[in-house]
Amino acid sequence: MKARQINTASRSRKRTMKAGPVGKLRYTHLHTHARSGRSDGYAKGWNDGYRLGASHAIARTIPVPDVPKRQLKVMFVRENSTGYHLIESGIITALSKAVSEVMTATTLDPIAEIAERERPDLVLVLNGIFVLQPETLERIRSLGIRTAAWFADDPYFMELSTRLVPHYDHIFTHEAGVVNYYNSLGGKVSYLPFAAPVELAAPTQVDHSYWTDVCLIGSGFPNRIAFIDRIAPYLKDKRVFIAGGLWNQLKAYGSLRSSIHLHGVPVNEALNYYNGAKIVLNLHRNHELGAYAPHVSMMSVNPRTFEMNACATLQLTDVRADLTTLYTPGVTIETYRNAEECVEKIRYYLSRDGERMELALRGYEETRRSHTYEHRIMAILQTIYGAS
Amino acid sequence: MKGQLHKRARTRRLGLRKAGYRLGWEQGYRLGRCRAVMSRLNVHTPLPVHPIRVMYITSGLGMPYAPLDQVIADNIRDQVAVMTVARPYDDVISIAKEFKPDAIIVLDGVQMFAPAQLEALRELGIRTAAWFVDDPYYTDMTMTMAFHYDIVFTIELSCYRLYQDMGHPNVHYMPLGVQPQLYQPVRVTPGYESDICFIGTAFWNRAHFFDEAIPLLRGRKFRIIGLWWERMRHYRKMRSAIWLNQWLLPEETAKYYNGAKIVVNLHRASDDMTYNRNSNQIPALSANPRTFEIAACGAFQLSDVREDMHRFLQPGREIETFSSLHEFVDKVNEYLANSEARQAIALSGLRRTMEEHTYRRRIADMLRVIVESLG
Repeated sequence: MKARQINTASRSRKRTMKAGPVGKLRYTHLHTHARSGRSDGYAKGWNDGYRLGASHAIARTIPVPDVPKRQLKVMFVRENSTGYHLIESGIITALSKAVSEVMTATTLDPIAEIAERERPDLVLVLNGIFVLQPETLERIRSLGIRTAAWFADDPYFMELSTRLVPHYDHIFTHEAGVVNYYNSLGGKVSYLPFAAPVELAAPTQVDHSYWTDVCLIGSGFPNRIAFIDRIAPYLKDKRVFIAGGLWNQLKAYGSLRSSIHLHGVPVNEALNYYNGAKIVLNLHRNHELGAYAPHVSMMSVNPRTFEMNACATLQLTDVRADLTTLYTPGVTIETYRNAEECVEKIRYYLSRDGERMELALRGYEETRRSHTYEHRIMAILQTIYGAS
Repeated sequence: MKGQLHKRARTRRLGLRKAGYRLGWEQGYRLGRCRAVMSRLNVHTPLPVHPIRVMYITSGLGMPYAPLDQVIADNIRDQVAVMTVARPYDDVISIAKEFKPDAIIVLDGVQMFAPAQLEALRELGIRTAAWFVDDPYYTDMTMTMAFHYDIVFTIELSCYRLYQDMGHPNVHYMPLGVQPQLYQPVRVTPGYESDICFIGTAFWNRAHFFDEAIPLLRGRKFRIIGLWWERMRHYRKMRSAIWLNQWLLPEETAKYYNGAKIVVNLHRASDDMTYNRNSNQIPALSANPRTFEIAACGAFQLSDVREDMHRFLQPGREIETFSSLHEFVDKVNEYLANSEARQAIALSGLRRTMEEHTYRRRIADMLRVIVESLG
């Protein structure tokens, strides 16, 4: 790119010498720019069209799985925070296909009273560790209603989650590294990874305000801050979008400032940014396990893993032990082990549109095939009620 | 002044960028959908390998048959135990005596062979088969030559009926096909793009057709490439859209097909007098290989009607057809305005062609017939 600009400049200089008037020079100059504008537009349009065309075709061949309907009334209790919005809408969409009646409440509602009034067959709680108390759960159970939770913050708040474990009939957790520990506490625990709400998180065409080279959305946890500081010199001249709190703690905050949006972005905006990025970075939060360290480990991937892949954009992620059971590195997702490898792979894939898109499309394909909330809800119901 | 100039330039640049984006988007979208079709095909499922020895004899006619010879030889080699290749001007009899093939397959086999040679091969106990790829334009010769072969494959339905009616015991209808390695959906640069594209020789029926169509399609971007187009009345006016006397490589042809919104297919008239030895006026009912080549590029094809086309591509679903100039013009306008409809047809055509109309499939069918005849 740089070489071409230099070339253009020297060519127009030559022309001025011949042509004379300054106005001529300017027109020549502008004309060259205009042409490159058209071909830049063409190349970008082609890539976007290809990604969309291919993913639409994939969506047609791999429809969202048919979920057999069970005669059940399910009360779904939502976490009272926007951070869980995508997960929840994925669950609600899938649940309403899977059972005859779905009602929702939030953890702040008097759920025991509601359950007593509504008499559902099952109360399914998403996360719920911050508000719900053991007594509430026992009261619901005493009504003969089954209770189940899908923990979504393991292993970050072990002291909150462990005390609820014995009070549910079934527990599902996305973190494989805590299953044995919960079981030892008397829980009936299954590993259930997150998934993609494919009806919300999908490949779409977004306008140029979302177009970036690299995008990272999430809070600036200490391990993320340290990591971005290491790759900041490389990111400086790229189109970067970073959104989330705490990122002003970066040492390189000054040089990346224009790329950082400290107040974060709402979920649907995040999806637009995933769609507009050439590469989305995923960096799992690291956590001091403290007293729980001997019992639990961090093996599993975050919900973003699935949401990013559902947008058919190349995901570059750090490695969690579980990742390879869900996606195949180098085939349906790309990984890095350290900052150097991350930079190397960003550089590699930014200069190879074709390879980048193929990988992203395969990731999208795999997501639709195996990682939708329809798949997960079927698994939950099967665990609780057996095969339909 | 300076600021205004820059502002105007910026606006212009943005406009061009947007226009470019739209054009690129459409091409990319098409190819993205083609990718999905191609990746779902099970073209790589292994075909049976027959335990026979085959001697393949090329047409010996040079261009444009040479690539075809190559494709056929490659595909036979993949599907039989042993194969050797000879040319019609080699000492075919001696080679056959030494190689001892179970069967001989000849491409064309009309212009370069003497009946005595064929009879000598038969006497060696070798099953002889020919694939007549120029039917019906050489029927004056094929009508007698057919009877010097045990098995005849013809690309033309009317000739299939003709040889059968004449009493040939083993005739098969076997159209040409496509080689996906040469014709497939590919990314092309904007230089290959057009609204309406035709690649082929300007036989008179074609020249007249375009002479009439061009004034009715003013403002459309044409791309016509081939021999003799200077015989068109509108040639001078259309010069920038026409490449004369070009013999394009298949890969190049494929690029123009890929870049065109509409690829036109006009069959040669059966009474066209150029290179024609069809004095009995055997009609041409079957689709030409171009039909498959265009479809294999995932391009939208608008073709004149051939009676037997529906057997290979379903009009209105996998290909679009016209039977009059006005229908042609109407359909061009209709489909240029509707890229979704164009792509839907192109993609169905692509899938069908890649599944059923490759040379790999044709050779498999052909070998099945030959193996059956060996008993």
